Amino acid sequence: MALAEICGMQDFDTYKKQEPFDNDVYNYTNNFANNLNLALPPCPNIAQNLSNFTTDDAGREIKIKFDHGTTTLGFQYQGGVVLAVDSRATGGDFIGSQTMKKIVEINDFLLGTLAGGAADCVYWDRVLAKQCRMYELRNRERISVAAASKLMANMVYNYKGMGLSMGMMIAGWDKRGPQLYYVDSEGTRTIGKAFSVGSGSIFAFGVLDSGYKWDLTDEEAYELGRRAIYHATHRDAYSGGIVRVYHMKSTGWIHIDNNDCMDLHYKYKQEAEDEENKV
Amino acid sequence: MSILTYNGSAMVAMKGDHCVSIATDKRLGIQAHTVSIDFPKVFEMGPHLYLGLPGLATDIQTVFEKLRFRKNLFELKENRQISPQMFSAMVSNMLYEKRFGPFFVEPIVAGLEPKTSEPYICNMDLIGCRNEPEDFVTGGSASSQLFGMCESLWEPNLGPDDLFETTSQALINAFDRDAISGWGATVYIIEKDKVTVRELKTRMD
Amino acid sequence: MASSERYSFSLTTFSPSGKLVQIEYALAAVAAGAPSVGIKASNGVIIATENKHKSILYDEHSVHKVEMVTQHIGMVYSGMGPDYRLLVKQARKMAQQYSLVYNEPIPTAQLVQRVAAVMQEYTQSGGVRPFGVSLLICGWDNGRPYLFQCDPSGAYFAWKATAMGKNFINGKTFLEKRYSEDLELDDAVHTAILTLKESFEGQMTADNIEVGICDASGFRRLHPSHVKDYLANIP
Repeated sequence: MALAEICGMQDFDTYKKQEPFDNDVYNYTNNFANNLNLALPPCPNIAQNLSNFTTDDAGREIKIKFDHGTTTLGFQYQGGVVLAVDSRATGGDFIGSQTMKKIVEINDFLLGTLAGGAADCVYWDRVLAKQCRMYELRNRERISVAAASKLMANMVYNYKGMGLSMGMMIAGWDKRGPQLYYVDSEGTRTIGKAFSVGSGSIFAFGVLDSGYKWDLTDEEAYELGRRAIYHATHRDAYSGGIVRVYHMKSTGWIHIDNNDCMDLHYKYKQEAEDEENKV
Repeated sequence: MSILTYNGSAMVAMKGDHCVSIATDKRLGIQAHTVSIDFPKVFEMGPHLYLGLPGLATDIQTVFEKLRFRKNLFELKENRQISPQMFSAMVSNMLYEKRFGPFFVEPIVAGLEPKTSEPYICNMDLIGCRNEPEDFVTGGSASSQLFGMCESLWEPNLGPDDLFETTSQALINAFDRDAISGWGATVYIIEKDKVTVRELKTRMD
Repeated sequence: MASSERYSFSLTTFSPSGKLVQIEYALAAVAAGAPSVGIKASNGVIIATENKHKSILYDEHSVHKVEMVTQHIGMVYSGMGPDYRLLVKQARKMAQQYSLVYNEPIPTAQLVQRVAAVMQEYTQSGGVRPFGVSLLICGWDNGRPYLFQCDPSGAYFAWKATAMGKNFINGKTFLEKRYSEDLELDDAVHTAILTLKESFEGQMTADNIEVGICDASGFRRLHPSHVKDYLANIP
């Protein structure tokens, strides 16, 4: 102690008086207070050193990625925005669920679709929903789709390179009319007329692009979305289950219908045969 | 990714009362991409002898051709039909020949012994280790799901109709939980005086 | 086949008249060899041969002429002993190869076909001579007995009963008279011994003949004491 005093270190052990317990409580419940904060691994430069946490001692990859297969699509037309998605959740080749909800109802005028890591998408959609509601309460008006999508893009950008995996569309109707944005975990945020995201997107695009017109009627638009998703589920092993169709209107979103892919397959097959017989 | 699950497949064979069944899915994929939904994986090798080859598609075709060659040669040489027992021994031998560079197939043999009409089923791993159980065998990317289904549905001494129902339900409900198999199914029920082939209506996603 | 390049031409060539004299010489070697007999009975098949020795110093029951190939197939020969050993070795190997591949014992007809193929090969290959033996191969499969003869040319025949080696013509004539379809194994052994006795020089004993029996329980060579019992019934 004497040495410490000579060295001018009078308050050498004052840190002991701080309650370490308080610190722990703060650190372990940080996320409760601020949803944007995730617990980070205790090392500097996480993005660069991420491989320490995704590979084991032998350098083998640790499996923490699930639900990569999906087909989602959304497009604008004269009647608003149509969103259509499948409902399959896979872990590797195993089908974990055939009834997953891949459209998240953020609020009455905002819908988000999910593709990529299921937990990532669901969590950040939930945070986004909260932020949008906060915005509404603070500003006495609904958030614009542009702002909502930017919130999302900025939130996930903070974790870029740290393993988040999501590709989502945000559809809504605001002062500027119907809007459709694509946002992903790489930091992309872009507005567009038609998007498709997920492992089955290439197949969905094939149908969507060949049938897309601005002047589609509502029914035609729903059917286009349905067909595009159905064809994707047929060709893509990681997409399937139920085709869910949503419509974003000036009055808010409505859920159009759910159709089992099996029913759709045999319905379309019958229609094709009937068509054949007519000719 | 295992090369055995590159193309995806689901296959099952079951013993019944004086009958056997063998059933397969019809998908050929390149990983997630479904390329064909009418790809044969079960082959008739004799009036009461069927060979199922789940695994890598290119090896399915090669192994089938090689086995057909060897089986035909046997039947010409010996002027008699090959029995399922002998056939599976032959398959096993052929696979072990490639111990250090195997064909990526896990064959299933199902049939009736020519003289006694005793049911026979057998499966083996890709280098020919034979397994000849009293109940059922499974193979392909959905084999773990199939084991679960068979373990709960199968019972001894099923007649041909019940065997068909059991096999079909086991197969369909198994590959409905596997992303890379399904897209239609074919079931063969092998009895002493007839073989019934049925196509099943299944999910197509 | 030929170890030397210099002599890799076949020794078995056609004579101007279209005969393969090498094979005829081989058959002559067989016809000069010790006689052997084979008879199919209703419940099995037997093979028997003379095993006479030039000296009393010879230890009789050490080297055999009747040999087992598999559990259910046995064979014997007339002609040259050393050539026979090679064929026995080959036959055993082929039988094992078959059961390795098919997990089932080789059918007698298959073994005969394959042994005959080996014998034929030695009539066309360079640097070798034909075998100086004819074989009698007996077996039991599919619930019935089989008896085949294999010649140096590679030709093979299925017999109900036959004789080979010295005096085989007399032996065959004898068998033609004595043979009947519903013969039982014991009678067949008896008849075989009688056939050998037809041309036997000197006293026939349990030590100078060998008998092999093949039935549903497999192939076995009779013990001399057992042969003695049969000889006791011979007049």
